[in-house]
Amino acid sequence: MMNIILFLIASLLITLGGVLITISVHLIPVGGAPAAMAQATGVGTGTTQLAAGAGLTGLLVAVSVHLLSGDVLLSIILGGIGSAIMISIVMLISNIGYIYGIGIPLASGKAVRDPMTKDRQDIYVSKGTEGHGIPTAAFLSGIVGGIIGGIGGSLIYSVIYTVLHSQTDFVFSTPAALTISILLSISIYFINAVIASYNIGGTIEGYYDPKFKKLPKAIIVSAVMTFICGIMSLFIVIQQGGAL
Amino acid sequence: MDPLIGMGVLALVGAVAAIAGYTEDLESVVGSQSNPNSQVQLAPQMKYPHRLFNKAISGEPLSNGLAAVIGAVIAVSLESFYDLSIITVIVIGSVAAMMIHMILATTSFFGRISSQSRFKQPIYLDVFKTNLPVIAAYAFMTTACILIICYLMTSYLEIWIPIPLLALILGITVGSIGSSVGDIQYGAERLYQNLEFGSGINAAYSGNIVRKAESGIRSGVDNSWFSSKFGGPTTGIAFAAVLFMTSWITVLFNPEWGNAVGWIGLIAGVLFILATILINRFLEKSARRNFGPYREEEKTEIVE
Amino acid sequence: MNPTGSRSEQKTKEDKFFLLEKPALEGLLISLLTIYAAVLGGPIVSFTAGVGMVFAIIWAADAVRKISKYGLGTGVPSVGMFGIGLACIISIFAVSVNAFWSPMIGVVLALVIGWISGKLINKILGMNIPSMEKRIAEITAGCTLAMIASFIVIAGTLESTIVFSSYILTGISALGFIGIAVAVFHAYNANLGPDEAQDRTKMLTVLDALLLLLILGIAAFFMGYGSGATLAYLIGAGITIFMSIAFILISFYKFWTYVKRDAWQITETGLLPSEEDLN
Repeated sequence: MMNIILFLIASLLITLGGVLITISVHLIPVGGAPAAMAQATGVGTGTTQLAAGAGLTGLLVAVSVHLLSGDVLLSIILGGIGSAIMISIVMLISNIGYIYGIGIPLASGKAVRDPMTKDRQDIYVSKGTEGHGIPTAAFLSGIVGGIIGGIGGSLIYSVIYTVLHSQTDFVFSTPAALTISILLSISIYFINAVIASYNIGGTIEGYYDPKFKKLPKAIIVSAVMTFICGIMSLFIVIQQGGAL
Repeated sequence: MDPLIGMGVLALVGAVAAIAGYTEDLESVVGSQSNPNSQVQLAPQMKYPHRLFNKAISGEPLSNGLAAVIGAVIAVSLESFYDLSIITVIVIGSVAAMMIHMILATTSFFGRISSQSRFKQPIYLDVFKTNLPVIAAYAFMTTACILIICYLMTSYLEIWIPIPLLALILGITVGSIGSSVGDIQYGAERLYQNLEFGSGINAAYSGNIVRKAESGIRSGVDNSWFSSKFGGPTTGIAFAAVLFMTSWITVLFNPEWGNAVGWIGLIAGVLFILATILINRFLEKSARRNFGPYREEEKTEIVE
Repeated sequence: MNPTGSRSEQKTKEDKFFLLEKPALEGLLISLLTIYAAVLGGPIVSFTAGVGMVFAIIWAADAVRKISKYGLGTGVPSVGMFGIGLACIISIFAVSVNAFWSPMIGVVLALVIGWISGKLINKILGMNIPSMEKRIAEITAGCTLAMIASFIVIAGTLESTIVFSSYILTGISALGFIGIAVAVFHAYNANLGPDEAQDRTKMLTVLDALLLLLILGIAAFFMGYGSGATLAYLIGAGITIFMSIAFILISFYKFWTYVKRDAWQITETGLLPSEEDLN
């Protein structure tokens, strides 16, 4: 029988990871389909999809670091960095597309002045749109969101993997432990990304967007759902480890 | 692992990733998949029937993830069935993925247009016949490139994730990059070339897409010609940069040599992110300086 | 969404217990029966689980169709991904608990957890979509049953050790994950529009589910052969392949007849419709 306190700590850590993913989706500037027509500020794709792309990139980095060094803390933090690198490249090259492909300056529709650089925004918004591109404040918000989301995904993966590996009579090898942990963390990642994107209705500009104030609601839902999923995942892991 | 071999593999991964991103974006442009699809879908409703290929399998990440996983599953199972060379199984797997992708594209095209019959949008079979091979070819290329990256990563970069699972991760990533980066030029410029260059698309023009080509009536293939000049290459660069920059941290500063090296890799990653912030700020300022505001700044400041 | 029906009429329609609706009843009963037939019959009849998978996917896809009509704000696929994310965890959990009772445990857990999550999303996030709880529960349950059925197609049994070593650890789990998700939401997404017809969407769901079944069958055959599986297992996988190819052809033909029925005009080539045509 696994120590009940360890079990609780592990499930709470998974819940924390899920909540971090939800927060990250609120921070990444996503404009949905209108952004692809330069009608809204943010990256021109769906929230779930961009968050999943970034989170999975971070997960891949975390897994490779974990395999190479075995250091859990390093792999979690580098997972966050990997996620942020993906988001920053996507936002930077999107901005190059907006500026050189369509010929428009970057502007936010929700703030009169950029909260970071204090640049005037409203006069750079073209007619009939709600802003376009990713201005500096949204860019920074996106990078912070990438780091948080990557850390959340890698945390879930690391917790499940560590618990699985600590079982003495685990019947399968290391790649097996890896596969189960990755599959379960991808599932939890998608669940939280969808909850967060329902909360913001598909589009958000970053931390200064009025929709960001709805974050606590999403955190409650995400915490409950991730806790349920976390307990089930840990149970799978323990059952397969043969310790229960 | 020898660091030199690691760098070589990394360069190869970057090159293959660039091709994957390029073909992924063009594939979605030919079929008007992903976000600009909303305009192509809206056009008949606004009395602008068109001859574009309206393919809405799903968002790009999921459809590319599915194609990559199907290719990987077929490749892996063939490998365990008979001792074939890796190139052969990659090609066979990609062909299988391409065929499933073609069926999904076909049903999406017929399904979406049949669901618009009250707007009198006809189904043009010649559009279907000329665009589908192009979509299939690009889907084949994307899947094959993703599979090559998967095999390189598992054999040389020591990431022992089962290949189908790795293909799922990379497929979703390439799709999400393709739909965020490449589609901007298609949605905001190519579909609305009749509007003045240098502004976002006024929401009032939604659905009023350009339907005439340089010669004749426009179909998806004409759009891929346009996007291959800017949207496709930028997607390729973005995907290659993502894979290269994320692997570069662990290959050049391999945490295997000690945790201190791993933490140096972390610093390198942070420096790269800071560099992108600075470049972005520079771009933002230069764009504002060169393009200027859309309307004059009012004399009286707005109360904030 | 029914323009002729009054609001109260809609409400009673949405409030109906889920088993009183035809797709739910069919999906639940047929997939449970076929899964148990495959469990009791051994690997040689693993193809019946494939039939169960198709019906479970039809059930989930029908629920996606009903909920997506209200407009979720984030596109159709997101609800499918939510369902498959829950279903993936629940199905592996159910198989870990008990092999024989796993389909029952899975369905009950999926209905309960799906209902809770729908309630939370509806009330706390303020989506206020009628019967969101019920539909998310149905999507999750359908996906869970499909996932468990796909375990049998690949592993030939529900013994957790065999499921883990042949399904999850080889990476075919990735195909189950994304394949079931796409099969569940693709049909409605591909038929989106004001003239969407239920029978056409359903036929496309069948086609999508069979395509997934075909790939699963091929993987089962080749991987089973490579790892020295029994003859019975190979025969089961072979029947899965031929059955799915045959029904893919039939369902594609029927889909095409529905397209011919519903489309305004199917033309070999032609110019754009003129102004007179449009008015």
